[in-house]
Amino acid sequence: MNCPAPHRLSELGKLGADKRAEIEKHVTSCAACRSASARIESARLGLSEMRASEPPEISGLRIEAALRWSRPAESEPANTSWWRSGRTFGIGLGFAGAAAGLLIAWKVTSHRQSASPTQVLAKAPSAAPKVAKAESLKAIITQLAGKVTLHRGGESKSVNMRTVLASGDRLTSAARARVAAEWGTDSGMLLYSDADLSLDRFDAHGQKMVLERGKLAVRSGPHTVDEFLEVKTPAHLVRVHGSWFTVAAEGSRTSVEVLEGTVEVMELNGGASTMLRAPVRATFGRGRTTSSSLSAKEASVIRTQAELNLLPWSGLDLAIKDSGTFVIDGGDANVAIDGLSVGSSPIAVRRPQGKHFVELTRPGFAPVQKWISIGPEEGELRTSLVHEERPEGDIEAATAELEKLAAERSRFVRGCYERSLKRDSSLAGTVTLKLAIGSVGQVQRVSVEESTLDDPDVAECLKHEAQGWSFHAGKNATLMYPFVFRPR
Amino acid sequence: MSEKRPMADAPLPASLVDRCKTGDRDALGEFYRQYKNEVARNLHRVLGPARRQSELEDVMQEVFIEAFRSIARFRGDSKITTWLYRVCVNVALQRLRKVKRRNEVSDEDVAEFKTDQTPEMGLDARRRIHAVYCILDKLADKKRIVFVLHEIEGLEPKEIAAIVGAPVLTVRTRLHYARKEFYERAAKDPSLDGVNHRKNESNEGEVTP
Repeated sequence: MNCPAPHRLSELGKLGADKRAEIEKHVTSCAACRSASARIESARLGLSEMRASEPPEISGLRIEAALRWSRPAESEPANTSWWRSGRTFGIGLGFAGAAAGLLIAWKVTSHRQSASPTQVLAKAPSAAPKVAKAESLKAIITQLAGKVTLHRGGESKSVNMRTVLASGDRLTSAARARVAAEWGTDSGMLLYSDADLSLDRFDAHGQKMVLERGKLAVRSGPHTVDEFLEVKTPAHLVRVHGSWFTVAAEGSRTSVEVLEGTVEVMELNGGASTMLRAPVRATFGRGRTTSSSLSAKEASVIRTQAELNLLPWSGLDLAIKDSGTFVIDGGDANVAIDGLSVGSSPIAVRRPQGKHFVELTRPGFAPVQKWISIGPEEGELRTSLVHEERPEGDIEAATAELEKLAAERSRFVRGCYERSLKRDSSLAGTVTLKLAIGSVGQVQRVSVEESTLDDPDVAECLKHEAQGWSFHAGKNATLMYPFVFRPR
Repeated sequence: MSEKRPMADAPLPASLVDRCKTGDRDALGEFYRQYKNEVARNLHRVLGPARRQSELEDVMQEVFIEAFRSIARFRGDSKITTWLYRVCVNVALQRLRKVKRRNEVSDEDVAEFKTDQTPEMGLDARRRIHAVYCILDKLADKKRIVFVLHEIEGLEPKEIAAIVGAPVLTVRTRLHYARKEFYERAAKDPSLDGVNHRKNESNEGEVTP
């Protein structure tokens, strides 16, 4: 019999008994077919392992932020008949000790009249039909954390979720505070902590803001050439020709990160003007400018951090009516709504009516994840963050054991390095591994904390080696261990 | 095949697709959260294990951006999952072509791209999977897609035909030639030697210098 075609060897099970026996007999007597058959078996095994393998965990925050800012195809206008008046959703957050369970209570209060403000409402710039030139704009607060003070007409008061911002207002944010506001389609800002911002001019034709100190992220939606948005810092004027940027002022130094579109930065004393095209980061000092391109990844990270929490905008009155507010009380949990991190509690966030996914996390506590609806009525959820049981392991004993293990397995550890040394005879450096030991002494996670070796294969091989180690001491501990390699 | 449906056919409320069509960002967010795991799994299998998580994230991002861009043209002729699958496959094809172009410049990149990242797998398994994807890289893209969808995803030729937009007969023919070529290459691939036993996956023999 001639050697069978390889794909026939892969489907022996499908053949009749006689044919199969004939091929198998041939394979046992033919060295070439035996080798081919073994390789095919390996490939089939590889395919079945791939079938069972799962992709790595994707946090998705970066993707979600990017998707939020991608422009979906234009289509028919949204049907807004399901909009109802906005309501508040409160989440009371407590922290419970290790012994306490998770307590969730659900309370629906009776329908209450909407507390929409009474100001005369302006239309969004250019998104809606063209508005009168000097019509003033109003902005609603869409996110609020910490203490933010509004200075208006000689009076100062705390900003709350019902505050509507207008021309002439000045905002100051305290440490750990942040406030986001929106005034039109895809147009909004996020003021970070320790900042001072004045809305010098705020109408449909142009928005002029003065940032005395601190950092501000701004996104400007669709606008015509004669409309503008600018932010003045103590030494510079940053003018938008595109859409999204952050600007930070620190004395005479102004830093700008452009995420979308083009931004023009001018020195206030009439000096040079610089055009920055996204994605880029630049710092302007007195007569000194440095700039560097942002990679797509860096820009994505900044977008995630500068999440402005914009709502679908159909005018200020509708935006207020059609949305509700999550108020998250209780301290210091990181809050993400619909996959976007919005900062730490206590915080209030305005979102459109409908279902939202709320995630509360705090190191050392079990995360809480809930789907919550903002509907026509108020709701309340009381939940406790529960300590995750993870007693500290005996680090010293574990480190001693790790050293012993590394010595016992030195042949294999060294092997990881020497395989790469064959390719590069000058290879030398240190790989620091971080090992998380589980409750029964198994290695739960291994990651490369730092590697000064040029060849990533060494660290990968070490990770694989360490994965199989087990400990008697130091359960639940996390250890770092440097492996030093140099040619002998 | 052990796993028949890579994309869960959970009923998707028609209103969500309709809301997505209007560009409602919250609906798009909901759509993303509903399908992100399936999309990740599909891309993971079609492209092979990525060296870095960010690579998979990049392709996923492309899939969803493309899906959101074209969802307005989705007429409901097929299931939404089949349609999303098609988008995945198209983006994966573009990605493969891009990697192949880079391959013309340097072989190293592709080798790196294919290195597995999942540490819980045995070294033998990782080598096997690496070898499998190296062979798949050599198949023509169209053959590779039908082969992966059938052999790894476990889809029937009829379902594959709906995804790749070709007649069932064409899919069967492609599948036949893909199998033939895949196993011919596997039979000649020395990197598959000595890695065909699941039980011998201790790493002792592997790291010995």
